[in-house]
Amino acid sequence: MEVFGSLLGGFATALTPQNLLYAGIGVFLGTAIGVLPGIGPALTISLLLPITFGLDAVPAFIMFGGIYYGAMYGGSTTSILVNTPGESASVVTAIDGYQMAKKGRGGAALATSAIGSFVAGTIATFLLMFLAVALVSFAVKLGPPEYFAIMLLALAAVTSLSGTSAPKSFFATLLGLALGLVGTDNQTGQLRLTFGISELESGIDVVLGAIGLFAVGEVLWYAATLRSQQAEERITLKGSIWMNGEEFRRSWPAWLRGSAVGFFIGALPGAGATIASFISYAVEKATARGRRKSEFGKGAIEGVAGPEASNNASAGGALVPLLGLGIPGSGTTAVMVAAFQIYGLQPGPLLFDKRPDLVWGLIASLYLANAMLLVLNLPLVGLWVRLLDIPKPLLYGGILIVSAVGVYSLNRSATDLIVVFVLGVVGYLMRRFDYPLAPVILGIVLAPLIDNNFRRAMIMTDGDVIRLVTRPATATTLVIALAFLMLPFMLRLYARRTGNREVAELAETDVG
Amino acid sequence: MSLRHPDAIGVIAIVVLGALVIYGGATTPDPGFGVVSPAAFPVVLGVLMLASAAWLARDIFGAKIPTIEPIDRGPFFATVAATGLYLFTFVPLGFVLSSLLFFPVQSRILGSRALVRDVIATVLFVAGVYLLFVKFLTIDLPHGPLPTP
Repeated sequence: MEVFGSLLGGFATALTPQNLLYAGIGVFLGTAIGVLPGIGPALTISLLLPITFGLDAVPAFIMFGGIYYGAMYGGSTTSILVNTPGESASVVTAIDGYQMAKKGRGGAALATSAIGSFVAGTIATFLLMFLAVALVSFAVKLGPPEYFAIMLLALAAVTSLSGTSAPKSFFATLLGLALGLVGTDNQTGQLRLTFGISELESGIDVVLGAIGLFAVGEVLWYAATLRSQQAEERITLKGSIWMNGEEFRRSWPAWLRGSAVGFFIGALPGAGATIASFISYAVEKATARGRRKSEFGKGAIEGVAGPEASNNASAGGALVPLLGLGIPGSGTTAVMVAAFQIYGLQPGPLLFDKRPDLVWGLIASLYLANAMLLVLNLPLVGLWVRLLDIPKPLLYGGILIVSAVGVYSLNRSATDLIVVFVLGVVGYLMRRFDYPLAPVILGIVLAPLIDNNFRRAMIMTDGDVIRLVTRPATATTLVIALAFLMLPFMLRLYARRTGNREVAELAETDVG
Repeated sequence: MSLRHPDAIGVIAIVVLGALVIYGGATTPDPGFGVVSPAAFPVVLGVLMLASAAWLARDIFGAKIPTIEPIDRGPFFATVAATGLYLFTFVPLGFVLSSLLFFPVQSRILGSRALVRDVIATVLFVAGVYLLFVKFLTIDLPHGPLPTP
């Protein structure tokens, strides 16, 4: 019951007119940017991070709650009406959502997506409260060896689930870790991997990584594929934005299944919204019977309801390891760590003790953001679609300007702008040659944490690695990490033996 | 491994990067306290990078050479140049001047031919970003040769 008391405190913090306004602005901007093609949640949060700089920590995080859920929802509208997923987690939504729109049921697809996102987001936030609190009481008993092993697990999961080539995913993780080590070693004060460049002594911020790899990389990608860009075939929304009785009856079980799948997949390190939406689609297809099964791919409402619910539920799930352990499990939550660090905070168990107002205010704001999403999104669907009328040359020019302003406002550093340019070129090349980007972002955040915990753990075990890896909790976690690394091979083997196309697609899915 | 394979250049780049990380790590001074030297993690990463290069080389050894879509060289290289120039001149020229110059040029590179619309959009967009960040969020942006607001 302590949880509900804390939550009430969180609502007392969040429910001021000023904070409600910030939550509303966050939801609006998160959705507006998230709608734009090629801009996923990690980049949306990175681009919008600077607008919270002028605020105190509590209103800033309340705004962030809105941006986070808004960004997660943003991709669905374009998937349904334009067949252009704003981000990878909405790819599955486009399969049946666009077909529904072509049949004149776009309103129903948007409605099931919005209500499903609301239901799933609310369930996920509810579960997040209890799981994060349980995890906190467990986390305070963990020492550096266990933290070291859990971080390796997060990296192993992201590496195994990202990209289509194991060595490329492995390299992407190593690149992120190397970038994360650039700068001053905080245990000895020695400079590492700076190669005599004094401007690199303070390290490479994860926001630089996200903006360089995702934003600048996306613009370069657009320029490199300019002539092969296809004209969008947009469906005009007809009729009411609501479901009929049968569509509602078919939707709600899918929302609940999607919520369960999304939350638990999202809470796993590495497996983000994309994996959750693919699994949810497979679950919906597997549970459909008779005529409904044959509707998949041709406009089955469950094919929209389930994945959209799981997409938003995974956003809540992903906050469990972040708030409970202080360990991000995805590229998007890695960028969230940067938001905490800007305010001198470290997410994790101690934050619940030190800043309960902030943690519970954030959780309360997630409930509010969900409700606001529902209220705002359906009436404003016309506006979201009109955002796609912005000519692409202006849109991409604008993205670069906002990126430059965001990067500069972090540290007022001209070097950061150069770093972002270099990372942008690297991001383009990685995308061109099929290297995943999410492990790079996660690696940047986790590198110093892994290094610190490993070195502290080695002090605890007097430099004995065997003693370190044979501690029961550490050994168990490392075995799970190993299992994660084997997962893609096992999935491919299973798919080859059984001829299961969904499993084959899942094995080839890039969560980045 | 065939050098004609598109990933061959990746293998070479990873080897170079791995060697650089090993060198950077190995030249990190060790103050002599603690059980693990600050050089250890970067050196391990560099070695693992070399291992990932060998793994990738093994994967593409004897593999069928895939065809990859050619890029639009003109817009791509022009965008690289314009973006680089913009980010390099952002501080010396200031936000307003560099953005006013960059935005219409970049739009034209990406295929826009509506000059008047682009100029109007540039002025409105730059003014909007300026007002949001400098006036509303009170974040200092570089002003370059223009007088301090």
